[in-house]
Amino acid sequence: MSDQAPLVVMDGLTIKAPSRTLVDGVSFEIHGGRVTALVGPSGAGKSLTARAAMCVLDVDPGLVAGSLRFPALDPKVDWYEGVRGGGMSAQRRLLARTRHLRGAYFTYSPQAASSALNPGRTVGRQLAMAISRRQTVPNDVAAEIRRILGQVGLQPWASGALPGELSGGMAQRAALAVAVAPKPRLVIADEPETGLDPVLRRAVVELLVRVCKEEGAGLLLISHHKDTVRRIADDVIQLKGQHGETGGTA
Amino acid sequence: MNREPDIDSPPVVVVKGLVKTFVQAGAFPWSESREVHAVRGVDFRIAPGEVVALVGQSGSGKTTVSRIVLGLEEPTEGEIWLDGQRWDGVSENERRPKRVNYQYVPQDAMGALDPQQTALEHVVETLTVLGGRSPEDALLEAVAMLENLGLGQRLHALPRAMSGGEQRRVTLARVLALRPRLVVADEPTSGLDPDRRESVLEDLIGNLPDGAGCILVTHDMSEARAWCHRIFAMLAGRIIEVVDLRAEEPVHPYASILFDPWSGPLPTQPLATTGCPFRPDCPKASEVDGDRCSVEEPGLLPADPRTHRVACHAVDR
Amino acid sequence: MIRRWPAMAVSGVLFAALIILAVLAPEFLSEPNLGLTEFGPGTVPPFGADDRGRPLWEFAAQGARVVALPSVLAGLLVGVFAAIGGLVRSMELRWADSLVQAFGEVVGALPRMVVVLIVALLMPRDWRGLFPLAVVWALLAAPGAMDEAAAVAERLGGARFVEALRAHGYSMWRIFVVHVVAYNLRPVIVRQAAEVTMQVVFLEISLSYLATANDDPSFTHADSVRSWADILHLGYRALAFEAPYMHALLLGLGLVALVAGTTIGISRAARAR
Repeated sequence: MSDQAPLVVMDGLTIKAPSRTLVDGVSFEIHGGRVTALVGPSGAGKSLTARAAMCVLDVDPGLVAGSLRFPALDPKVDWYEGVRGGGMSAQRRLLARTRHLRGAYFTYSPQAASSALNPGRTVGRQLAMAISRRQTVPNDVAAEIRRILGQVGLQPWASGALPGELSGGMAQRAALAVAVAPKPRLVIADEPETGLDPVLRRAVVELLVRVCKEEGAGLLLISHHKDTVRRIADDVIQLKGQHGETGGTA
Repeated sequence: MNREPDIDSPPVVVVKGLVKTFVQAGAFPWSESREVHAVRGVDFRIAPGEVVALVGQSGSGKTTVSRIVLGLEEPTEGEIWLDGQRWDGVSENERRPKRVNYQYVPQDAMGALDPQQTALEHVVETLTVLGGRSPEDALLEAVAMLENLGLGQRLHALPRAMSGGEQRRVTLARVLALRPRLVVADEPTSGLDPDRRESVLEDLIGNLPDGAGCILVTHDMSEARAWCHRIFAMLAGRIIEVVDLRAEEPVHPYASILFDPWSGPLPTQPLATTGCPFRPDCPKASEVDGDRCSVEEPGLLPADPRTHRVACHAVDR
Repeated sequence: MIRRWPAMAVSGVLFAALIILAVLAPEFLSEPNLGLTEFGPGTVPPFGADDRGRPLWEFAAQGARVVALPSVLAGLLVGVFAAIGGLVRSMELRWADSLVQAFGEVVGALPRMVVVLIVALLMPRDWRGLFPLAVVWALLAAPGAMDEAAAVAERLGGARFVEALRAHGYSMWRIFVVHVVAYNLRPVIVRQAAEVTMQVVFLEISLSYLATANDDPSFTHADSVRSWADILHLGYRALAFEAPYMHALLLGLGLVALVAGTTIGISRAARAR
């Protein structure tokens, strides 16, 4: 366990939909520099939980219980204060209040990673915009862009390319680059292995883990592949249908 | 799995010396075109009642092989025999009436359904047009088949109102209603959640008519292991291992990685164009005498098609 | 939500009414009855008379006959074009698709009304009639219809859809004619056809109104024949000069509404599920 403050502390997260409880009393901690896997059967609420950790709550009535802290940022603030039981309007206010965190403190890489890219802007431009979200922006942004591209295994020319001009695998790497460019504390990768054959799955996951570790970011990986979780996860959050618990090292 | 292949009866599918080369045009009209050797010599037989998995990475040729078997593409060389009748090189007019027996479950379920037809209408049309049933019989059978696949409540739903799994099951219903002799399923569980995958495969393989063969094209090895009698692992257009996973584990260095990608070092090199394609990344290449792996592409041994066969110089068969 | 079967029934009835009216149209108008002082429907049933005492139902019927065939044929023409556009896209015939695109870009850029007016003005006297104008209008409307049909065909999934059905064992006829055109393109084809039919009717009214208002010979029909524009022109006098022709205005607007209602009804009846 790292002796730094945890990045995310979630306690008793409970999210309800009109007809049923979507997430019931989930608690976990995510630490920087470690890989945390979020696993569970489909419908268990993995994506929902990950989004809730980013203060994105889009269900009505939604959050009814739970507290959320980012100790590495500010140990005292409970971000769910005033949101619990407040319905969609409170959740929308939370969304607005925490806008500065998304894309800076944490970044989110959706399932089809390449769809996270803006098809109308070049990769270089998107990287530059991501870099500008950092606490301290480097003087030579172009050099930094080249460095990040190299880190994910892309050639410098990819900087001038539009996402549509890249092959599937390259677009995925570009999406990863954009996710780590703001030097976030936490990268949330939502099922990045979907639709890939086994060798490619391993390659993508290993790249994700390596780049996050190199950049000093924590990684929250949502996955349903047991072999992946077994091999790379330092911690496991198991959503069993409804209840969650933080397991030890997988 | 509770059915065994009938290896004493004539095979449902015979593939001999299958080769498929695509010509890829260059970027400009004057550029040289490139030849893509998608399939470089594939032979196999499938017995009645046998479920076979074609596994491999994208680009291995598995999808091309499955499409050629169904007559959706013509081979460059080789022969396809279905139920003892020649299938390749035959005109589409001759093939069409027989397609009832050799059915395809495409990867994209939504794209195979008519957005303006309900689940029931799809299956009824199949039974009346292809199955020769009367409208009344077709309706009864269609309802029975759909209920059997858990779509009893969705009979009148349009594809856009259905989940991915439900759409998939409509395509299955339509195919299985014809009681075919062969079903070729191209990655039938792609895009589905893990729990749904299991039920789709159960629906497919559990409802195959007796004596029907099935080719499952997949890159999910656990599926292959759980549902298939034999696995054909493909690499660079050839079969490099044929194994019954219920009895033995794969031994080819590449096949081993396919089944457990974390078991060895991750392959990073491009495939070799001479000798064994896997040589650049193969941990066992150094165990082989001289330069054999660089020079000579290994053949599938032993020759007996129903044994465990491997194409690797480092493996002693 | 307008339900399908009532829409079909109502529009069917309306359409039949218009056709019957066209069929019953007299060759020549009745003799004028200049002694009339009252022109309303009470004096001359069922729709009243014009300023010369001639029954307005004859105007309505003649007008219906003028528009009936050309407008329906124009609609059919556009429907055929739409079907072609959709089929070409779903068959993924590159060369044909390029041809269709080129046709669309050239023709689609032309301002429809202006072109039709020019054609109307340039046509030799003997050839004057609604039919050529209706064909021109249909050709100008074709690119838009083909485009929309192509978009629908594209959403079907293109080659994958066709291949899945082909592998299943369906014939090309069943795939393209039944599934692509009849099941999926039908809403677009019917709606485009109905709209063009309606537009040709309105085109005829506008052109005839122009001619009538300026005391010019009509572009679209013989001088001995009356059209719906004449009814509306009479109605205009009721509005503008408080002349006693309100019944004409109501009849004219009623006929326009009838056509619009039929068009809407047919489109709704043929819509996608």
